[in-house]
Amino acid sequence: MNTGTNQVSLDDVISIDAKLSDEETLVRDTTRRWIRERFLPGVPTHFENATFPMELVPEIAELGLFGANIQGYGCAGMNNVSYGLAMQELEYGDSGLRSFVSVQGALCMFPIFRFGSEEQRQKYLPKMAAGELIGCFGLTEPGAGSDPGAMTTRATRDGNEYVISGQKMWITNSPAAHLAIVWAKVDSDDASTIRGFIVDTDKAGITCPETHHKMSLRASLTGEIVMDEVRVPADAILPETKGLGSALACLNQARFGIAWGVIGAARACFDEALAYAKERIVFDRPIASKQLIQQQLVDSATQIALAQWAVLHLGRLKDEGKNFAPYHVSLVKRNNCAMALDIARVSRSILGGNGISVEFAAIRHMLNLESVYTYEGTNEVHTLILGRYLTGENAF
Amino acid sequence: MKILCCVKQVPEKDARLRIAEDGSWIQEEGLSFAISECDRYGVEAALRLKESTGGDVTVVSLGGDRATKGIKEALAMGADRAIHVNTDDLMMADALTIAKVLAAAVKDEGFDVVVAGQQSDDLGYNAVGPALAHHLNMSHVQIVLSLEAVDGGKLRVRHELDNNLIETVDVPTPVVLGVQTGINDVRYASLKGIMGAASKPQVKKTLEDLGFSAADVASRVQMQGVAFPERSSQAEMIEGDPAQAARTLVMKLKTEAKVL
Ligand SMILES: Cc1cc2nc3c(=O)[nH]c(=O)nc-3n(C[C@H](O)[C@H](O)[C@H](O)COP(=O)(O)OP(=O)(O)OC[C@H]3O[C@@H](n4cnc5c(N)ncnc54)[C@H](O)[C@@H]3O)c2cc1C
Repeated sequence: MNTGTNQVSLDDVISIDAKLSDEETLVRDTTRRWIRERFLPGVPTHFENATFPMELVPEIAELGLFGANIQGYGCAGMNNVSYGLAMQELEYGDSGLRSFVSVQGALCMFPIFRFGSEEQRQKYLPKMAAGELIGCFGLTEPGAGSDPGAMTTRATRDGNEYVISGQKMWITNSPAAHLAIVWAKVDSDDASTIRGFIVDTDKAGITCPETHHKMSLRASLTGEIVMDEVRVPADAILPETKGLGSALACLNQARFGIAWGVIGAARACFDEALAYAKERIVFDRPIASKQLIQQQLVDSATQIALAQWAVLHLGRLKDEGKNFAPYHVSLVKRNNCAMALDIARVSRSILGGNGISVEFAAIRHMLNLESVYTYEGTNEVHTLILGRYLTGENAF
Repeated sequence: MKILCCVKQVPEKDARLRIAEDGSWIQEEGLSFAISECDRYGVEAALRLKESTGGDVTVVSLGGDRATKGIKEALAMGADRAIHVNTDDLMMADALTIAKVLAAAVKDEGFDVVVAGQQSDDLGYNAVGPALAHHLNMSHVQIVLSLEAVDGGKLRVRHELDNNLIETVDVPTPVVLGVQTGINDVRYASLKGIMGAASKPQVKKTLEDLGFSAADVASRVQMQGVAFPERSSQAEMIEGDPAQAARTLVMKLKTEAKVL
């Protein structure tokens, strides 16, 4: 499917359709059409006003985008390649939108599906798939980001309840969330005791103030989760969570989606820059006729094509369910986020002065990608994960 | 009502086309394909008709293997079953031949309403619908803008005539309708619908199954060559009062520049 600008599509550049099933291309094309018709017209205003288009949540749910790669419980049950393609189209729209869907699906529905009891699944997943319940994922704290094992949030058992106290920050969707997946150390300071809890955000003792003054992911709500002796029933614990590894398993799901998603952001920037370069006349000729600009465009297209091939390969491995490891995900998350950020910057520059206006997409994506580069494991963290894998030396 | 809906799989409407080396047609290798624009509105119209009257929607597509994508999309949107006339041989055939084959594939089903697109994005004959009506012995209405079921098993159809005239007629079924683009808001297939499409009933028929020999379906029209329109950088001044000029401009942006 093309870009709507009568110009060469990167789908054709890498002949990706030839390697996708009917279902996979339909998922991509449907999401793409929805993004262009329903989301893109409004996003510059949401970005400027620092609001998220909540009114679109029912449509996103109707499409089946929440928890789309989960089987059953009202979810679409699609494979991981389809899921990745959908994330890519969402992020063609805005990283904030993809973040919303990632948090809901990979960081909230996935842990309930994977680590929850059957009762918890039945209670939450269908309503979350329908967009009636919105979730957020509370791992990061003021003193614990790259090193979440240093968290100080505590859950203390008290009869039939847990009492949770602590502060989570930089939490996507928290101001709008009905529930939070909160990670806390149980009755000790040891990281091995970290467990996940489903905490309803209307409980006494919990507030989720919004974080303001962001210059990135402005069309996404970010906030804190402040918990002061919040009492939750004992069955709010996700029974199968065992230490930090369980939280990292959720992150791995989300990182897989991000590795695809940022290609969408890069492609949005590239499509815009290519169209602009063909129109903009400087020194009597379109800038697309200048060798320096062509090189920038060619480098961008090449990096996008390589990233696309990489995630497709990885998606196939994930669907086959073997030969798929966390360091694979680190490799593509790290590479693709850096790639997308570079392309956003180059595209921004091709637009000249216009490039700094949110009337064009480049600066919005460029600013957004600063967050995507940092969250879900910073570039350095993924470097250290891969470095440890390659050398056997832990450099954290 | 028993509703049939015709969909054709064509190159994506914004695809950057290249002419094949022998000049006879476009180079299809590497292109993305999708349901032709008018047909997409046709699927929506058929589904809405079913939703208001009950019954079911069958989708029919004639084409090679790539047609399965369009069929699955229509099923994912809500069509109930599909007939795929599976052949690569008729992609450049004339409208009468296409209609003859389509008719053979569906004639025993007793459809009340056949919704076809007014024309396809690629060959644009504007003729398969009327020819299909002929072969199925049904009446037909072209350039349909809206349709609704009314009493007495009839359909109330608004459609365009020449000279910007719009006519509203109550037509008895069975009838073939050629629908225009833009007549409704086409729904999105849900991702769950896409995943479930493959399990809806689908039959594949070959030309042989339908009893056609190669001679029966030999095209009476041969494509001699295709070319891009001559480029001219002439500016065009749009005359008239501002409101009228704006309408003309929007129309030209839609139909000539195709940027809207
Ligand atoms: C918009 C946004 C949304 C977010 N949403 C969520 C959410 O929904 N849920 C959630 O739990 N978190 C969320 N986060 C938090 C995010 O995951 C963290 O910001 C991230 O993990 C980095 O943690 P930090 O900010 O504490 O940085 P720090 O960990 O303090 O890192 C600072 C710098 O030091 C580097 N560094 C750290 N350790 C090493 C080392 N060993 N060697 C070399 N360099 C190192 C880092 O790479 C970074 O450059 C979000 C963040 C943002 C910006």
